[in-house]
Amino acid sequence: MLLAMVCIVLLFIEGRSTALNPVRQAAGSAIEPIIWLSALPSRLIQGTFWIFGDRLDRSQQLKALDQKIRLLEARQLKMTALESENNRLRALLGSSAQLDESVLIAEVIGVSPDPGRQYVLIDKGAMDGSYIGQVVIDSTGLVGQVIETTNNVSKVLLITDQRHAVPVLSIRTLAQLVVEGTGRLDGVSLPHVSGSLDVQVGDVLVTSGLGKRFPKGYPVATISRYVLSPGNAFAEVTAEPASQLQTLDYVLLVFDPDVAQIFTGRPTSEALSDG
Amino acid sequence: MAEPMLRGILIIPLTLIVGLMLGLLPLPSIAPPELNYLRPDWLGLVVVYWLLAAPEKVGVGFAFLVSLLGDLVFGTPLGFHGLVMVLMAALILSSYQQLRMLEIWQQALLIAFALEILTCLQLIVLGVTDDRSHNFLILLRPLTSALVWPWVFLILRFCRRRYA
Repeated sequence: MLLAMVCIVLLFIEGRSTALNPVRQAAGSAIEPIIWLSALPSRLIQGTFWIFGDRLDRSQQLKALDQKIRLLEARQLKMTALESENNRLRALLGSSAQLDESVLIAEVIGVSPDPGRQYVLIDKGAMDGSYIGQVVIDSTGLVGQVIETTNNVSKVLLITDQRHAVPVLSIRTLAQLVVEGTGRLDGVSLPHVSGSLDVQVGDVLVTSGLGKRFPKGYPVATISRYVLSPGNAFAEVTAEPASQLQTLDYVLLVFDPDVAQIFTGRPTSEALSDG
Repeated sequence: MAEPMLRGILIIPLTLIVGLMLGLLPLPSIAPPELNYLRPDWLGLVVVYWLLAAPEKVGVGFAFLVSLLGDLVFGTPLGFHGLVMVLMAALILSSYQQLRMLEIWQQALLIAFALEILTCLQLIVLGVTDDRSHNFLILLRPLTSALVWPWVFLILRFCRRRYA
């Protein structure tokens, strides 16, 4: 009975504050082996498929990837020129130049067993320079942010979690909005969208950089539903996440040039640069 | 003589680790995420087994410690598993002698019943402490747990007789 009361008290503390996070953090390294062990079967199966997969198929894939790299490299050429031009113009305007962020590739090794919470576990931790609050993306958009990190594993809260919110910008109208998680992987919601605001289905939302947690410009979601019932001041807006949250396998950790050095004490150039 | 003793103690943490791993195994990505609510509570069942089989070795305190471990591994708020497990342990310890005499399917029914009531209690407490909404599909979990109980019981009994 006493222990049951202790449990209820613990739940209260956890529900209302983050006071117990250090405990979690400390115990994290102890349970790391269990997480690695449970990730093992699916990794083994994937590995076996990789080894015994169809050779012909593989060579075709290789060819396709090769072409893709060439295409991307060609676009990168233009990007570099544009980037320097952008920085020059920004310097003229007197605003700070946008720095090129470095990234690190991480593999997803676990997902939340509780469907009420949306997070994934990745195979990079504090040893790799990952830090709490670090932004995580995939090749198509924003995935979430690191909320716990132990030596070799980090926990990434997805943007669809009920407790997650991102400040965003609509590309078409430059309207400032907020994207909140709904607890479902296929949709996020936008609260407090005034009925007079110009928002349409299909509008692309990117991170606005407000709040300084997420760097500006990463795609977050596309608006999929807009309902303004007469008499309501606010519209009901839902959006579809840009990243492939349902089939995440590899993600990219983005190193904020200023923050990474404070947290890890080492220059970010050690991390794989995306340049 | 020392070796069987050691094995008798080691078998409990080993089965617990297997229980934790079964709880963590990711579903294939094509499966709807709601299916996660139907996962049996493997860890809870392992604890229930050891409470029934070796009440002289494990007790309510043991159930509490295991539940904290479960919360850490599964990322649930601390105390989430504890509430159910501690009360379950107290119930079982008060009547393990009768429970042992029952058929396996009767045990499964009783476990489902007790887990169902405790899950309702858990939802009530969470409703007060946690601000996010909860899915009532979680009430189906005790039923799937009861379905796998006979297998858990038989496998663990085999392990205990063979290795402990």
